[in-house]
Amino acid sequence: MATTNLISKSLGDVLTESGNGVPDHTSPLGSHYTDKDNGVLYVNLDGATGWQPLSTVAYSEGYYQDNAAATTISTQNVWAPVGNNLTEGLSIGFSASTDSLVLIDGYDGDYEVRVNATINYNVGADNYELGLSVNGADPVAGTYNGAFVDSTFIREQIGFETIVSLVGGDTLSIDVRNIDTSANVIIRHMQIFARKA
Amino acid sequence: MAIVSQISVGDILYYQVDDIPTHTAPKGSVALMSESIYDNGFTYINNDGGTTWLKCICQSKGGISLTNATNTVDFGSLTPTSWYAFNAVPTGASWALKPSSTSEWALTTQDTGTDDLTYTGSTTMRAIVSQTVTLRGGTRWMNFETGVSYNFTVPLNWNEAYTGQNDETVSQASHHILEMNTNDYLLSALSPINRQGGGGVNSRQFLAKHAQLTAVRIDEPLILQSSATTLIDETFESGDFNKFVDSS
Repeated sequence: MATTNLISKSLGDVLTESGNGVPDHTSPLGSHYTDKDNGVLYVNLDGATGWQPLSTVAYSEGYYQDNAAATTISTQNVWAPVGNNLTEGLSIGFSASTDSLVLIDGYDGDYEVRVNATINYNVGADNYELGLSVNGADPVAGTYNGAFVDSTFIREQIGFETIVSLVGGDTLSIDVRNIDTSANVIIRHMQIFARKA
Repeated sequence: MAIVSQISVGDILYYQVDDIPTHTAPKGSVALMSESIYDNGFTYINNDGGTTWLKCICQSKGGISLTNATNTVDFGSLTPTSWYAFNAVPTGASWALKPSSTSEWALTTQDTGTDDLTYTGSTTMRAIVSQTVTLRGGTRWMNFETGVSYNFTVPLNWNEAYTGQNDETVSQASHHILEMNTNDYLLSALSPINRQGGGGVNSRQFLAKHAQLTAVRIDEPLILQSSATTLIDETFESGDFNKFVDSS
């Protein structure tokens, strides 16, 4: 959305500005503009219509390595929650709760979420998919990928990356499903990273 | 924290403050830190119309890559489950600094004798460090772990995959948040886990073919004038500091 309701105030040769929407208006180089819709601050880079949003600091990671406990699938092609305990890494704006990252109140916004994991054969020769669960819901399109393991090639890696809108109290966790049978699987290694986009 | 001055710009406010902002303000309001107890200052933006202020930081990113390495390595010459520098397998593989890297990052050769990505900035910072690698196997299957090594220590996070029995290629990725100081360095690392027996030397040759290693700054600290102490986690909400463990 283009800039609307623009209000400007001079500060020497630059402007401090507020409005609604992503900026597309002309301002002096170095001017600041706040999009009131989402609280994003932009800086003008060219004295014209070029604006760059400033990065804000909110991030977290959780991980585990060498897990040996299997995740129960129960039903073919149905998502199952992965309940392995996370170790919380460096974090601002999140806490960790057992198998989830939890956004702290006040840190609402769009977040880049990245997951890399290794699935481990348990029984059978099957295709598995691993995806992002927000608030315990099934992964949606664009938030999962898959791999195959069997008794010979027992471990393979799955990764995916997405952007989700979160509000305080929202949780991020991992689901897995077996495309071929109801055989269980082990999520051997997993790293989840979230950062305010 | 004291508000030194303020102006309104429509519905929001711009504040000059002398410490980390903690006051209630309209969402999108901006606080500029000055006249402070810190050696540096940041701009903060209000994220919720309450008392949550997010620090704004400048961009810093670096990356190195290895492309189309051609020298194969005998899996049998390595010690299973030990970690090796990806770019030392084979020795002398040449990496390139990504041209989009900012000035705080350099391609160097530290005490590893291999190519590394070194942080040359003057202050401690946190970065999300990511790598993706490609391995090509031989005519017997092989199993590898790969991860990012920090100052030539064993990776804390890694993933794992197999190359198949027909010279198959496999890709792996991993990532981790690290707190880095001046001249800390990163390198891609590889651990040979297991391989199929038989077949002779020619069947167990593998190729550490491609790799991309990147670091993007996600946080930087305030620096106290009185003690030069860095204050990076201003809210103290959470966050255990996880040091790498060198088990070598």
